[in-house]
Formats: sequence, C-alpha cells, structure tokens
Amino acid sequence: MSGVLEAFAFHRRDSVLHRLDPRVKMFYAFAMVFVAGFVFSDVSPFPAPPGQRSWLLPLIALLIVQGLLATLGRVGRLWARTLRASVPLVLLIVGLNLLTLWWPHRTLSTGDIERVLVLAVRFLVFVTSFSIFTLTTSPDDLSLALEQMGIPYWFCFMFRAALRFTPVMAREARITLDAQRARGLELDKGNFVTRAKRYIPVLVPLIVNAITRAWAMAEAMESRAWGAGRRTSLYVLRMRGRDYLALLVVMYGVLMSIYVRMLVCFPLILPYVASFFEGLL
Amino acid sequence: MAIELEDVWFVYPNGVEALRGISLTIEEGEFVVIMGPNGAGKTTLVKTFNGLIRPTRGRVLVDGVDTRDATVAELSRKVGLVFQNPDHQLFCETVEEEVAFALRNFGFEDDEIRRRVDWALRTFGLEGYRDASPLALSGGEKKRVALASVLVWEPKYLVLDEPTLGQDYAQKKRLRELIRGLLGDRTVIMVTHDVEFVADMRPRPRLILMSGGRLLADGRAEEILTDPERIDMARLVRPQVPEVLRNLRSLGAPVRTDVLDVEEARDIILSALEVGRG
Repeated sequence: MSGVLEAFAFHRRDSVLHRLDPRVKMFYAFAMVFVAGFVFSDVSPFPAPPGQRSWLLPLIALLIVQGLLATLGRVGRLWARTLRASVPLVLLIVGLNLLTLWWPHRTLSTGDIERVLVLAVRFLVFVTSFSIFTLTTSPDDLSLALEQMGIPYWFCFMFRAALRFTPVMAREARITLDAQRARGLELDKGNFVTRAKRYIPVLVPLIVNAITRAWAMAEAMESRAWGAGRRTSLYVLRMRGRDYLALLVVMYGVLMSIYVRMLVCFPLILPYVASFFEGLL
Repeated sequence: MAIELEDVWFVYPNGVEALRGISLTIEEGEFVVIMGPNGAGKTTLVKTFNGLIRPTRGRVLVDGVDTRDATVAELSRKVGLVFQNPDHQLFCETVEEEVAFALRNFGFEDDEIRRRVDWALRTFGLEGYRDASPLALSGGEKKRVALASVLVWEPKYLVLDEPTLGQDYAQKKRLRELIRGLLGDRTVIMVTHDVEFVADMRPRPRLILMSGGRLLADGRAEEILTDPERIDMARLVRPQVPEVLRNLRSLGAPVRTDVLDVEEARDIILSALEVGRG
C-alpha cells in the first residue's frame, strides 16, 4: 500500500521539469490523457484511415516518451516505481477484460488479447503522466497553480494538505503495522476474507489518528486567522520563456498525434510478435 | 538464555544507516536502559529483538534462535515490545478486548484469556475501564492499556519504548513501581530520554548509551550518568544530583561527584560541612 502512495510523493530535486511552471506540467498531464484516451483510441472525434486495427504501437510509444521525460526530470527510478505499483491494478484490468471477452464463445483471438493490452497500456499512460506531474511539482507549487487559476483557496488548501499528509499516513501505517505485529498479528495467514479482516487493527488507529490530526490542524489554523478575509500571495507564478516553449512543444505534440491518427494505419502487432517467437522456436 | 547481537548493521531503504555494527548481550533477568539522542537508532535497535527489523548485516539471536529463522509472531511470544505511542495500536471497542487481542492472536484458550486479562487489568489499575473505549481514555490510561496488552502474555523479555513520554509525575512514579515489580523473573529493556527517571530507578539498571547507530557506553547507570562528558556526548540532560556536587566541588568542597542518590548526596554534603566546621 505504501508503495503506491510513495510513487506519487514529491521529491525535492533540481531539473528542467522541476523548474517548469506547474500549470504547464498540469497541462501536459491532461494533454497526455487526451491523446491516450481520445486520439489513439476508438472513442475519438477524429477520423482514422480505413484499415486501422490497433492502438498498441502508438500507446507504447507514448509510454516510452514518458519514461524519457521522467529520466530528463531525474525521477526515472521513482517513475518506474509508479509502473511497478500499478501492476496489481493492471493485472485486474487485463484479467477481467480477458474473462468477459472469453466468456461468450469460450475462445480468445490474438485480436482480443491485443485489445486488452491496449487498455492496460492506456491505463499506464494515464497513471504515469500524472505521476510525472506530481513527482516534479511540490505540493506548494501545485496549490499555487490551482489558486492562480481561480480555484477557491479552501479547495487548494485541502488538496495540498491531502498531498502533504500522504507520506505521514504511509509512515503511520508502517508503525501501526509493526505495533500490531508485535502483538502477534499475522497478516499473511488465512484466505482472502480473513486476511482482509486482519487489516482492521491497522486501519482503525490510522483513521482515528487522521481525524484527530485534522481536528488539531483545524484548531491550529483557526488560531492563525484562517479564513479571516482576502488573502494575498507571497509568491506569484509567472510564465517565462521556457514555460511558453514547453507549452508549445506539448501542443505541437498533441496536434502531431492527431495528424498521425488521421494518416497512419496501425496494424495488429501481436501476430508479428507471435510469429517472431515461433521463428525462434 | 539471552538476546545476543553480533555486529548488527541496519540500513533503511532510503540509505540511512540506523545501526552500525552493534554487538551486545542482554542476559535473562537483566534490567537494561537504552539512552541516546533522537535518531541514535534506539527504536531500530529494539525492533531487531522481535524480528520487526532483520539486520542488513550481522545477526540477532533470541535464546539461541536467529531472528531470520522465525516469524515476528513467534519471536513476540518471548519479546514483548510496547510501542512509544499507544494511538498507533489501540483499535478495539473495549479495553478488555484490547488487552485480549494478542492472546487471541497467540491462540490462548478462553479460560486462560479471561484469567490473564483480569490479572492484567488489576495490575494496571484498569478494572474500572474494562468496558470503556480505549480511544476515549486519557493519555496516561492509554499508555497503561498498551502496556497491559503486551504484559498480558507475560513475555520473557519486556521492551518498553519511551514509556515516560507525556506522563505526569504521578504516572511516572507508578510506572517506576510497576517496573520494579516486574524485575527479578523478567528481563526489562527500556528506551528513554528521561535521565531523572533512570536516576531515581531502583535497582539501578545497566545503561547503554547510543549515538549515530553505535554504542557510546555500556555499564552501570551511576557510573555513566555521573560522567558529564559521556552525558553530553549522548546529548542528554545532566542529572541534577551530580551537577550540584560537581558545583560544590568546584567551589572547593571535598565531595565525591559519582552519586545519583539524593539521600547519599545529602550525607556527603553534611559530612563535608562537618569537616569544614571542625
């Protein structure tokens, strides 16, 4: 559980990506979701050439681009950890889809399998585009960006507090787990239901502490005049040359992918992969 | 029978070296206090005793069993670890169930559970709270419930992590008496910052000073706590009795300074006064 939480936690480093305006990075994350969800996809406002078969190739290309970007932002290893942390969910998506495709006729074609892989890779693109954003943007910058986009301050604050307390919760989860194991709790014993039940001793203290902390924090904030009136910002975000340049690059990328979608016919690639391996055997 | 550490190293995944080559033996029946500044590795050290932390290098033996060859639950039967903050573990609807939690995990019979829970509640003065929610108790009461919930299975080695944190004087006094009552047939290992609490402890414990993941000192409490150099090195508060004596000595009074006990200090000062008068 803590692996998933840590995969999105901000680490203070210095790189081109860290220095970019958070709004540009947010735009990038949404642009990636748009491209993976509405450009290289059957649900799309843009036409595709006849004979288009599979979106696996362009989606894998997007994932590779993200990997390169993460390396550029010096968060490559953390980004890879996001990938690893999403494995269980990906397996669930793949499993459920294969099952529903297989069920009616009790058969699966390579086309079916490839369609399911497309879903899995698309999901990975979604998750990792946001992880690049959160890995390279401090919660403060993020909240500042939201604020200056006109989103109410209380909402930005809530968002930032949630992000900031994520590692705290992860730490507490570990301590609580240790404390209960020291009292003989064994989590990996028994079947699925009894195992889920064994998490109650960990979850209850965690939730109770979170609520207690929220109350304490609310009191502390109110005694520092939170919500007293109009706020001014110490830092004001200003788009600079490189921010506009990055924005242009992202927009160019989106347009290029729409162009590629409308012109290029992507074939199914699983049959090729299969015949390659047959050739090896 | 003992807890033995042989050149134990531990590195956290983030690269922090919490333990750097610790070797020590804690014999059965000993009373040991571990002190040191924040981040010295005290909590990490005691977590190696019940296998919550397995050494990166070196090994830990509990009664001859390597902690790598046993589960945390198996080791916990012998090594009961009471965590610093009771809020990290209390979760049951009643104090009674909370105290019985570990016994159920260890598979005790119902009769035995009832008998032991009654005993633990009595020992910790919690009978009146049997049906109360542990979450609604005061800080000191919560601490006692946490203690009771571990002591209830009578582990051979009892490890207390910062038991005096956030406790008022009356609670500390009570805790001191409780610990004294446990000594003799049980090994008690206590992690603390509280110098005066240790100075007032009878019998005097063996004291282990830690800093930066290493052992600074290991010996009799009265010897180490009256040595200002080592106390400063471990960034602890100097206990008051030897401070007063050292102060008198620097003014020329013929007094010893290796004393923790208030009555003993009084006698030393009185006899020094008599020498002065005579």
